[in-house]
Amino acid sequence: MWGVQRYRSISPQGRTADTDPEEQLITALYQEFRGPLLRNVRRLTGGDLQWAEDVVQETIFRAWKNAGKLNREPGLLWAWLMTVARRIVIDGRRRRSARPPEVEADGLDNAWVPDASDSTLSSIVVSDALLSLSEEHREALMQTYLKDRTINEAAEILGVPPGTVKSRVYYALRALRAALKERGMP
Amino acid sequence: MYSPPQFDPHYDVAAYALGILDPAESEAFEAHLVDCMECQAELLELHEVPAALDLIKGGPVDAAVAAPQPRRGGEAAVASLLDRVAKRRRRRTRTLWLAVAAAVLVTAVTPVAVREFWPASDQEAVAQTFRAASSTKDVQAAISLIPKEWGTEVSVELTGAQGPLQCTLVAVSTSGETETVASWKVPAGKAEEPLRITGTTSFDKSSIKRFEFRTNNGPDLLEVPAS
Repeated sequence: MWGVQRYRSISPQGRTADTDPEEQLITALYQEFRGPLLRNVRRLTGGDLQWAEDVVQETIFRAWKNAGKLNREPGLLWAWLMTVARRIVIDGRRRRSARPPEVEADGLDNAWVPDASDSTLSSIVVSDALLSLSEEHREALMQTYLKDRTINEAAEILGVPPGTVKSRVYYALRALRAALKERGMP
Repeated sequence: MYSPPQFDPHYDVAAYALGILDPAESEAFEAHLVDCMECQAELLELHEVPAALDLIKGGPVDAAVAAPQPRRGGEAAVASLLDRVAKRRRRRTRTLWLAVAAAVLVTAVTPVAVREFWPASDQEAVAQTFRAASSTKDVQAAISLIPKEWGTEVSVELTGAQGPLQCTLVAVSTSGETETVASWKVPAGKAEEPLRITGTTSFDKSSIKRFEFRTNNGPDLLEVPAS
């Protein structure tokens, strides 16, 4: 794991313009994206800050590795960072649930009660948008993302080729995007 | 060579955005993504839809659509560095990341205790919305229920209530128990905007029979069956 590597030394005079660009880049990535990423990822980890920090670190590391490849369009880097972070969380959750729990969840102490302020309208709007899709599109999302299954898992359960599930999910997600837009989502 | 349309790598962008590709496929798509303007544009268009879906998904996820964004110009600030580093890396192959990987933020890397929040079964993993209107259709309500490990999150949209009123939303379970989900005031007159509130109950989603909009000084406003 890269995560166990520690930064060795930042020399006091080393944090200026003549610093190694690699260092400058990772510093800039942290400065610009750590905060917004952390707030978003924390929602995905159910409030687990330690896990969220790990996810953000790995996300920024991947951005650093892929330097210069995904910044051609405004917003693209952020879209990609959020996508990568989401996948790291999902993969992590999948790994965690694949093995027997090591620690018993102790009920309410661990439950993170959501900040309800801004989700009120949206859950109703999203339900509506989902209901407005064709049966096939709705099912494509229900049988995959909403039931926490990969494309391949869903394909096996549904008995159809993975490529078919992929293309259905593709059209379904686009249709949902359009339905959400109609309902005033940005 | 003929290849069926479903194997077109462009279709992977949706599954990639949702995080439901297997790791190897995901990496393969990423390699495609960096050179495909079309997929980049699609990712930009679709990347917020998973967060919207999270709103109606059970489990630990509580994403909001109005999610925090980086500050304006944030990308521009790193863009030139990204380019510079990318160019530099093409010249040099030395691996530097060992030294800089954990720069700035050094988080203790401790194993995170396994918390099993995810619902054991996938039944009812998704929000459901129930609607009801008063006999005169003046007062209308939509109630959306999201199953949680601690009970149920209840989102309410109420229109047409005539104030002044002191209201309480009560959940009634199939066994007849009641819990207060939320309480609020409706000012005098008729509200133009729908009232939106969120509350919680310890009842599991499946054990909720109905909701009652009660008032302190008059008949119930509305009853919304939830099964």
